[in-house]
Amino acid sequence: MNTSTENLIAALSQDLKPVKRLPSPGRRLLGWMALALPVSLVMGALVEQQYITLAYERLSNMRSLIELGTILLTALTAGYAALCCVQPGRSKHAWMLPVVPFAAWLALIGESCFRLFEQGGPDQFSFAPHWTCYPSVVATGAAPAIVLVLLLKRGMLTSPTRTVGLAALAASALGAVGLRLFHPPDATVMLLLWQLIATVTFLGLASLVSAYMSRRALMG
Amino acid sequence: MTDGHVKSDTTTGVKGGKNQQWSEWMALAQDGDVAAYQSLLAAVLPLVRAIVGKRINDPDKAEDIVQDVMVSVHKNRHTYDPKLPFGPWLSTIAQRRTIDALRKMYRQGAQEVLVDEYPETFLSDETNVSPEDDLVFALGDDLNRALETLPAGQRTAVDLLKLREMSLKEASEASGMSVAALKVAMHRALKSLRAEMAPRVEL
Repeated sequence: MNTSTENLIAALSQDLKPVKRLPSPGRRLLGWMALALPVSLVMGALVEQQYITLAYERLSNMRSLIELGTILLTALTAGYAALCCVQPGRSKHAWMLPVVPFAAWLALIGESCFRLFEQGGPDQFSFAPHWTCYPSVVATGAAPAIVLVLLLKRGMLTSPTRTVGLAALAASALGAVGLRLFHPPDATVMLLLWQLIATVTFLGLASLVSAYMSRRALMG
Repeated sequence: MTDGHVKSDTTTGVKGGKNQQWSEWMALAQDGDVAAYQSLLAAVLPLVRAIVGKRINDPDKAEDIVQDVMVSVHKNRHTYDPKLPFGPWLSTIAQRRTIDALRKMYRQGAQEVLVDEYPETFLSDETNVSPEDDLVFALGDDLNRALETLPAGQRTAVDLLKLREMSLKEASEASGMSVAALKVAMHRALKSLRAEMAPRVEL
């Protein structure tokens, strides 16, 4: 054996301390949902107080319920896949889990857009930034993104691009649940785009804060 | 939803018994058992070397990466779930660290250029001779005229180091100038000569 590697193994063994095992992705996912979803809903309701009754309408409408189901399923599967990505040895194919629910969600958005187009033509579509939507996007998206980053930081980043992509999708989807319930405009591609941009911003900020805190903790 | 478990360990080629033993050792190591941890690290080393060696040909670099992998295994031992086979966990970390190292090597390689000769001069004589000198010396009169324009110290440096082909030490003894002063004078002389002779020859 190479002497320096042998010395390294001896040094690592001397440094050995008991560690707390990382819970399974399923358990961490439950924790994420239990913490982030209620905060996201409460924040969404607070920001959109004047439309609070909209939630009852949407929960009693079958189509809205189906759409909420696909969004929630997208959040669950993408979140689970992202959490699998930071635990080495887990299935490398977990990233495929959100493909079907996400496709279904996009299909429903597409169908909404088509109906809108049929009713009012191209004038119904506006791709300009909707600044009035932004407070709702921030309010509903912050908690899912921040909590997910904190959970991901406890693992090991083995495929960064895939993990960030899945985490962005998961946090956006969970934030979109609150948005879908309380925000008056119908969920369109534009709203989804805003949600994704906001989530990526949150993920970036949360990562920076987390990295800073880890460095401070290491420095004692 | 599946629980993401890897059922077979065909990717690493680690046999079931070994995997089971490693898994048990790691579970003990997570609880702080030093002996189990030492046995585990020594036992997995050949597999780590094999994974790294598949992509890295240079043995020294490969050993550095192997050590990186061992440090990563140590830092991330909390991520191992004893219910899962140990081989895929280890090989994922080893492959990740190898890819990181390869990326770093490619990045460094893109910033470096192979050169035939170094721009700086060094103490040994061999490093102070370049093909440029032959070209300059072939220009005879032009060179003599250019040399006359140089300050005395620089002219002495060129005379002793280039024309009489003395070593830096010999030139230092002959001129009374320090080795460092000679090198500086030589460097400045070459710069002046280059400027002076540029219209006549492209150095």
